[in-house]
Amino acid sequence: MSKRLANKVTIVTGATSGIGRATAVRCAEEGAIVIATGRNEEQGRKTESLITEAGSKGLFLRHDVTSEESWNAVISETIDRFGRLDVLVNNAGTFMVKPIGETTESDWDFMWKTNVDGTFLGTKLAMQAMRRNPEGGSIVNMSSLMGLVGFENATAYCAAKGAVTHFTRAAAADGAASRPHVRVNVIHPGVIWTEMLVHEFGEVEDIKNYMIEDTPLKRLGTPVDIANGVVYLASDAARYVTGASLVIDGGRGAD
Amino acid sequence: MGDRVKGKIAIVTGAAKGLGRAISECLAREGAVVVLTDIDRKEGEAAAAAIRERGGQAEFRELDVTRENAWRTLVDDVMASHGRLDILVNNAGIALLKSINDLSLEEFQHINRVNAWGTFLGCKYGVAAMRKSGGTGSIINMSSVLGQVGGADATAYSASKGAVRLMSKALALEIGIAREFIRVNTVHPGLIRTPMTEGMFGTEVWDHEGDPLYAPILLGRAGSPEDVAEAVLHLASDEAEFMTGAELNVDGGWTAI
Repeated sequence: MSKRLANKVTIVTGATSGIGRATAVRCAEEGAIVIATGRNEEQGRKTESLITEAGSKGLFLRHDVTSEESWNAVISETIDRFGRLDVLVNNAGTFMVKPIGETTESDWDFMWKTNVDGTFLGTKLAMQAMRRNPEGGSIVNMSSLMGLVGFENATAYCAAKGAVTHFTRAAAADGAASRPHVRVNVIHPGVIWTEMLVHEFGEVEDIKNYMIEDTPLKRLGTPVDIANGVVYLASDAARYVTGASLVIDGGRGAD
Repeated sequence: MGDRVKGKIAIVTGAAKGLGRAISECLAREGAVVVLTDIDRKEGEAAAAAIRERGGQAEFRELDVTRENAWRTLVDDVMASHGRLDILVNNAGIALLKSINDLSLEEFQHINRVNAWGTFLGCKYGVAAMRKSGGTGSIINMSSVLGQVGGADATAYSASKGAVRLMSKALALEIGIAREFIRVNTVHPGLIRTPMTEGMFGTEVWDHEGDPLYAPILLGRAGSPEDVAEAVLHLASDEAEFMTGAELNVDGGWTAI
């Protein structure tokens, strides 16, 4: 069997840990050439070596997804080194829980800049690059279950991820209007116990146990659970899938 | 041959042609042992034989999804001969486009009996068999974009596919409360060229880019049965181990706008 992402040039943002790193590795296992991006050089180099261990090639690039200049540099270098761009995974994200009364304007900005501005810039610039690719391309955005339903103490995060959800649908229309087509889809992870959550909640067993009990499949998600969804959407097997929402949440959002 | 569902025992309903046949081929290509079922024995046998000729493992069994006794017999037979059930694809379905003025109660019931009741029976006996197989498995129910959004002249079809969609979520939750790991998800195809849709729209429209039929579709064309089969494969495989109660659209962007 040929690999599912054989030679697809793939940028994964926020690939220095968690879902982004697992996505970079899974894509590499499926034959993709992976450009792993992020702010943490040391962790980025580790992802780079995991890509090589997975049997593919790729590299780490320093990247601030909130800066258009930084995006231009990442995409130019990708095209210089590998000739084209096939897949972009807008994974980089920030998370916060806070009651609305304590949420400041700078908190709001912090949620909005990486999650929404970053996704907008990536989609816009990747779409331009993919238009020069005879085979078009596939963009996968990372929303959240919280981008579909509300949660207490998460107005800023829910608003930002809701924006990513709906942005994706509109971007799918723009991607379909371009020739060749660019597909744009969005993934909604449930509770995936990564550094992003630990940073906010701490390694608190009570919180973990509550989340597990609240999930029909009675476990927390893993980064690989999400990475597997990315592989499907990025691959040609999903060539008729665009503007779609893939919920990977252990059933938490089914009620 | 791939190995994404290697050794898993799968039942696919409505497998003689169209989506069901493509799904069966796809699961077999990735190593599953596929039990193809249909009311059409001749075409079903041929579909299974074609899979075997390509090195896949497949057999055919006749099944009318609306008959409870037939489901009981099928599942008993599969458990007796294969010892377990890992994947069930409730794909069998029929469609009818008709204004409500012209739609008889009998027609409404017929569509719902096959699409919704057939899926219910499949879930009921499928879950029972999966419980005997260690409490794991993946059920994929075929809904439609018309189970999510409305379509003119599709009251009966939309009712049946909406029922499939929410029945699946309810079942996913129920199984979760029982602390079992049987996953239940739905696939929502948009316009796919199959014998069913050829029966509805004829054979001419498919090559005409810009046909009004494609107006709701972002990608401006119909999908193929293989596109739907790949979505089913993803949900059937262990790669979707954290997915239950979810919906996967294969609709070329129909529902995005």
